[in-house]
Amino acid sequence: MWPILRTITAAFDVFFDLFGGTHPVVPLLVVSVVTGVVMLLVFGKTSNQQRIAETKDKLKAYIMEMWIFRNDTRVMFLAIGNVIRNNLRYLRHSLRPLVFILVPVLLIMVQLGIRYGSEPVAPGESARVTVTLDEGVRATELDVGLQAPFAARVASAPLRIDSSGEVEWKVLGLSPGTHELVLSTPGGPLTKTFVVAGEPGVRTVGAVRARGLTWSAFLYPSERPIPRDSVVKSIEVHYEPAGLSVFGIGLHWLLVFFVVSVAAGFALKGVFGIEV
Amino acid sequence: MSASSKRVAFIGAAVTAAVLYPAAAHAYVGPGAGFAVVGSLAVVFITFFLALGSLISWPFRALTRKLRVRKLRGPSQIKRAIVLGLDGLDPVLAKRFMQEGKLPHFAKLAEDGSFRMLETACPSMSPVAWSTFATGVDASRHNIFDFLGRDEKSYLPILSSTRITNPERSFRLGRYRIPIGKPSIRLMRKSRTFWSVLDDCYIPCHILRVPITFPPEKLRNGVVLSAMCVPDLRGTQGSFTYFTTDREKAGSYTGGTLVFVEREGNVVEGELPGPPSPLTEEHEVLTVPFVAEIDDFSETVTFDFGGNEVTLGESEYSDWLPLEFNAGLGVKVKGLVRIRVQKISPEFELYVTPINIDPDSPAMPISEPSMFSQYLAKLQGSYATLGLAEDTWALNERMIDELAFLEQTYAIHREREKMFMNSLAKNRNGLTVAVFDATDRIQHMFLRYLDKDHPSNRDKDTEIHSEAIEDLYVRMDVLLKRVLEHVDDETLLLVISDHGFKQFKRGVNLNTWALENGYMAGKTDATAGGGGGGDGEAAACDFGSYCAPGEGTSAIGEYLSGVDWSKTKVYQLGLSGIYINRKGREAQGIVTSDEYRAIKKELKEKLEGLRDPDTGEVVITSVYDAEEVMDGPYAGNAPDLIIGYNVGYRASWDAAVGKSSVSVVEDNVKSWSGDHCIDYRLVPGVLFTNRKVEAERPGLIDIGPSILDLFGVRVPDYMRGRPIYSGRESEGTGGDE
Repeated sequence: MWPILRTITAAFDVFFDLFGGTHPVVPLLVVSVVTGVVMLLVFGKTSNQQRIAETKDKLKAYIMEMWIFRNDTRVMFLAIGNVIRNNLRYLRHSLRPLVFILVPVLLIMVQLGIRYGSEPVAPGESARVTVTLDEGVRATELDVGLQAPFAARVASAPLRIDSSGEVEWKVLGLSPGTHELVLSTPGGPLTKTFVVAGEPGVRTVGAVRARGLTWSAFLYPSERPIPRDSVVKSIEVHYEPAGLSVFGIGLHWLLVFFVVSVAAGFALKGVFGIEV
Repeated sequence: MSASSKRVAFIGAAVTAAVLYPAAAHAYVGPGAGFAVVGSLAVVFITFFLALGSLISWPFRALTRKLRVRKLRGPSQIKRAIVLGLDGLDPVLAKRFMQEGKLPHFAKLAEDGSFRMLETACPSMSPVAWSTFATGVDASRHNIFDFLGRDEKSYLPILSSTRITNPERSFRLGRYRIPIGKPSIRLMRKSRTFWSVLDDCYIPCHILRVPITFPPEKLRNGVVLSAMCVPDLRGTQGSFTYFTTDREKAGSYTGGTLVFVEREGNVVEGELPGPPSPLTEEHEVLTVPFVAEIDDFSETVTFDFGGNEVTLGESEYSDWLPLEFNAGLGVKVKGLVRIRVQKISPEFELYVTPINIDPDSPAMPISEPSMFSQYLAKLQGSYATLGLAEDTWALNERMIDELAFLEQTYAIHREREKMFMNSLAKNRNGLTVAVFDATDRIQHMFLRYLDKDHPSNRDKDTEIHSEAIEDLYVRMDVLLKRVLEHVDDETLLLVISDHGFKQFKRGVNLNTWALENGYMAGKTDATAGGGGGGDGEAAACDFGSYCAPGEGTSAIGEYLSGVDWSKTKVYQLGLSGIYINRKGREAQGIVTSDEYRAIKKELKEKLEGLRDPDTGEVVITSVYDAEEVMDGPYAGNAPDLIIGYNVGYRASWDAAVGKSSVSVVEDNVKSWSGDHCIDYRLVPGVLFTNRKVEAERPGLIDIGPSILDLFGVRVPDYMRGRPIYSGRESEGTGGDE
């Protein structure tokens, strides 16, 4: 799994490098449009187009019926019932393509998430770093320590919480760049990237390094997973959520991705002759 | 749980888990799910707001209705009325089949209610009769006297029901001439429909495919789907196209176009001619290409027909194929055709139906509200919109056979039935009218099977479809059964036909008679002269297969070309009657007002009792002087004399298009072997109803007033019909059962 994720991440790194110096929204728009088109084609190939077309026709018919026979309350309510019934049928016909679409889109989203999801720590600002241990391991008894490179500084003593199996530090960012924190554990040292904001542009910010084949490891593929035999389940840097400014308006990247990809799909469905 | 249900449940669970469980992905509804969710949410929003708007406004609308209706409407005896129009259903045949026990539901309806002959209109033609039904007045008040009228200036035929004129103003843009505004489409039928009177009282009316409703009238509380006289996309009343590799089929065909194609290997390519371009001065014909790949081994043909991929075997119809004719500048004219492979080898032959207006994107207004045609298309799929949708011409010209015609006709019938049943389910407190045409078309084309001596039987099958007429009536009985499921004590049911049917064995040409009797004269050189208006535009043989007989100087060509109007007193055009070439009315009229009545009297005397020179039978039973039998404001537009042909006779094919022929009376050898354009007293329609009819001689003219009366709506004074259920009888002459 990791090699696949690493390859995808590397490919995205290359892609985003092409847009170095442009506004961060530009590569996001490109990814969104391409995703919309590709998923449209997948949707077309994996769905029952005839059934979807029939169901959509019925839906439109019953909506028209509500208007045409608006003076007849009985007919109107029957039409509402038929709209709901056909709407559910339409959603059901969309399930199958959804299965085919979901995995690739999630992979794309993960890549966008590690680039647009978190705001790097500003120089002079700090962030919490939390190490989560295996269940049953007492945080107060485990010999763990955190070392920071030149560009950052561990700014607090470890806070050990047995009830949640967590050890937490505060780390101060000093100079821009992607730095490595080193966590010493009984099983050997573990590293975790720590990103301090610098030049504008899109930067990979992996908030979590997790163990083995977990969902968190899938969601943050910028770092190799923690070895399975480690007592550490995850190391997380608590970055602030990132914002995306488009024409001075702050937008969540997910919203931009959703709107643009869906709009691209809808805009081009006629060109490709696909019912969605 | 079935396998498919399990699969759906599994997929549903997997997707739900994938989308909902993971923390970071839970917000995602991107493309794919997004397409579905966005579409689905849009539907929910629209539904919600429509419902909300309707509910909020309902009390106000209800109050308005109540206040308005209070003055217009008295107590109602019925809650709902259903009129099942079966065009041309013949009372004699219906009675015979009932007696033979083949129409149990008609028989039951007759027993529980009433069965009467229903007096038709004069002249007894569908556009006239259904207009009389719709308005409750006679032809001189609704202004429809025939399918065709004539232009008094040019003597050319014009469609009697509709005038379509293009916008007068336009501007040039390169090779295009862009019209400013829309074409004007006017319904020439006058008076008011009885359903518009019901509509004034907010009684919902569903009017489906009643002839002469194009363009459709606007109702505030109802729907109209137009019928007879809705043109095809070429602007004709229905023109088929026939592609063939067989050069021996060369010739002209009425009602269609023959196109030669070449077979190269296993491929045949061609172009379907469509409408004239609305955007260029030349109005060149727009086309849609097709490619046919023939598989000789499986005996199938795979078409790419205007972007539609379809594979057909021999004698197999396609579904409706949507076509787009590109006029340029982004303007596309949309139509529908069905295609049928007639032959695959050695010659390739392909029949294409007339190009119907696509109801989902109509090029002309064919319904009211305009979205109603789209609504039906989305609800039940594409359907025929052409006024005369069943392609009788193709069978008449023997381009298709009886089986192909029956398949086509019943396919259209099923479409209508779906519409009708949908309306019956929706409209429980109003009027629903639907007219079915299969009864008319099939009797026109198959009545010969009931008469072994019919001239039309020559060189044609007389056995295979000998049960076609009986089968038709039985099918109508099944339709009636389905309708009866919607009928309760508060429902009025009427099953009516606009006329009956008789054999059409001999054609009568009164232009030839007029030539022979000195009432008409041809130019000395008909082929050089001619032209409807006498201005020499069209030679006699330019119009197709019914070329002039070519017997010298007095032959009259199609559309009265070659007539010497300076010596012509009378002429025949259309099916219903003859016109006097009257001075001051016709552009080249010669009959003065003083002579007018005298010549009519003279013609009436000569024509009544005219005998068939070959058989000795009476050809014409009555000649009706329009001035005497019509007193409405549009009586002046009627033919001067309406000809009442005897049973077995009708205006000949040549006479109908204003042409002379070799003999005054000649055999009809076309497949079109049954007709009703005869003396209206000889072809009454049927009236079946679930109530007792008190009128002795009910007529079509009485149906509207009767329905108004039962709904408690006062019958307007202009209507000439009278309620048939209350004992007030119309002044008709319809026969008894």
